[in-house]
Amino acid sequence: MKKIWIVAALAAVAILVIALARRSDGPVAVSGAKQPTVRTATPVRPQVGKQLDIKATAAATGKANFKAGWGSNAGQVGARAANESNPEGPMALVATKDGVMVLDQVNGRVIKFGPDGKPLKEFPIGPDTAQDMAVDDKGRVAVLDRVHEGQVLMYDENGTLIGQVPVVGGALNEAGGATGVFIDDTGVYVEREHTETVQVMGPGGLPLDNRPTLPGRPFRDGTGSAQAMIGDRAAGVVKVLVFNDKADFVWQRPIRFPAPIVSIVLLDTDRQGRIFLGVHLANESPDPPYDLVDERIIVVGLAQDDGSDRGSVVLPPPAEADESLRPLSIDDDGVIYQMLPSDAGIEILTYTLP
Amino acid sequence: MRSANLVLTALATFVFAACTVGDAADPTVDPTSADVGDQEPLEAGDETALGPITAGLTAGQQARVCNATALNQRSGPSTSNAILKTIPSGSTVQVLEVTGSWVKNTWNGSTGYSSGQYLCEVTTGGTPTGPDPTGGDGFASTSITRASFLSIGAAAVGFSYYWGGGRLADGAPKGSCYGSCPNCTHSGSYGADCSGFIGKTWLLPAALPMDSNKHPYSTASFATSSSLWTMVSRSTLQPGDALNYRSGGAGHIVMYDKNDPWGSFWAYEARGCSYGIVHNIRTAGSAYKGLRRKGV
Repeated sequence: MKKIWIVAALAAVAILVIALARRSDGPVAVSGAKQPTVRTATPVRPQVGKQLDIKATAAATGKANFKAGWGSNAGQVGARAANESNPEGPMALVATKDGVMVLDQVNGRVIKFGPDGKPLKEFPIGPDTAQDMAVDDKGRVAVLDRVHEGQVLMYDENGTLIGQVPVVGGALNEAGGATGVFIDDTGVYVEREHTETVQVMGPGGLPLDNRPTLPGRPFRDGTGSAQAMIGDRAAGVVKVLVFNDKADFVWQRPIRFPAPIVSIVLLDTDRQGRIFLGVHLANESPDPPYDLVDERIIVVGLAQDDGSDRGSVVLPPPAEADESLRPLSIDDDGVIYQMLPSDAGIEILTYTLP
Repeated sequence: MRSANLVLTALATFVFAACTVGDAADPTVDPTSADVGDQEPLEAGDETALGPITAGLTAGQQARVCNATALNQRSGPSTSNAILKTIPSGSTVQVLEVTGSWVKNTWNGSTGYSSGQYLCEVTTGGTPTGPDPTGGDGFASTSITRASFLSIGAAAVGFSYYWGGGRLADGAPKGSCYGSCPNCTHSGSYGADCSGFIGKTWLLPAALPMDSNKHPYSTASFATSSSLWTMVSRSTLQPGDALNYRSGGAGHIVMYDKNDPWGSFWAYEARGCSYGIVHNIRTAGSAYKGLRRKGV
């Protein structure tokens, strides 16, 4: 009896010590890792989450919202499939509160579709070489034309051009390295090489003398940002890093997918505190022509605050060779929108996390 | 005994609770020791290195975090100094001063010191304007090497898309293209379409003068292996290889340069009439197949 009490007391003390150590500001050793020699002064205690293993599941059946055929008439979208040049359809899809907006750059315009696919409005953009688009809560639109004109354009909700700046400047040293555009009340941002984001315009489309950067892509709710990177392509591992609005590193989590990675195709947030990571997966056949087989896209939801699992869904991969810089978009409620090209045009599908 | 059972039950409950602190981030692990760099070799993203580790950083230039998932910025030039910020891979910092292996830098409004071992020079300088911003010998390259292919590709950036064409030269007028090819209009006599561009960069079938308008192969030719190139798996692509797509009379070919952290890749390509020859980050659908120049 006495021994049990002693063992219990020792165990309680040990657990208490461990618990207090976890809550302390001091570093905690990782097995096999280097012990830091000082306490950190970082105001936020960053955390590394354990690996999240995504299980292979069947593809979900997306809700078919509407289709838009190829062409240049109202409600149609343009495609280029010329011999000996890049095949491309609409380069970007953005889900909004009342439908979707499509960057129909081949026709030199932006089209707003209602939920049923009815074209509600369109406005012209100068170049037919634009490659990305973002829309803020007020309906203002930022357009990125990186490789030809090398510029970022900002339009008001009526489609009037209100700002125009070159891509190159600050940390953006080569226009072709721009990989996305973002807009909110504070201005317009351009992502460089899927790493950091550079502010290129202030509110109202004004150019900036200095171009501040933030790590990764900004959260929709303005509370921080996220960055994703492939950790091990063959093993299907992607890392997600999250920062607060002061650029303090908050957490990191590796995610292992059930097949090798072709590329990351989505990193976005909703207004429900979730991060959405989309990854294009495929196995490669061992013999020429080394076809990619078992292709799929898996979208994983993670909690913004700590990286906890919020479920995943499997989407079909694009069957066409048409290039699109932003084929997936998330709305405020976390609905996943997919723009799939086909011989006849594009189809807009929606999915939700389980 | 009953009391002892109660204590053990409470302990078991506590232990269970402690072990299930979430599917979320594990609070027992500190990335400042596990995965963030000062001097230790670190786990890096797949093919995310931006260039060689450099000792040549100088005050006033930009540098980028490389070969690490993230890099500590400290209050002084020693690992005994406090961590001010954790700078993620690929981020750009402004170099203020180089002290031995430590680099005083500014990032996101914070100034501190980071290990120079994980900072790489920013090697490209804006939109290419010269004949060869990579520092190679541009169109003078005549060897079947990856460096030569990339050098020619870089020198060609800015030339027009020229459907059916393949003619490039230092200082030549870039030309321009209007309309939708093949029913497009090209002005000037220099430029290339996608396969003409690869023909020039890969020196096909041999090192012919760049200034001659030769276009010996199309994307249909590149759809299968030949005596001059062979198909390779996409997962083994190296700089200077190509990705070719051909289907239903349409096709495109690009020269692979390097991957980015998302698995997208930098490519040199004669993209189309409106674009011309560009260097950009892009993706390629599964219809694209990997190719390698033989003899490289």
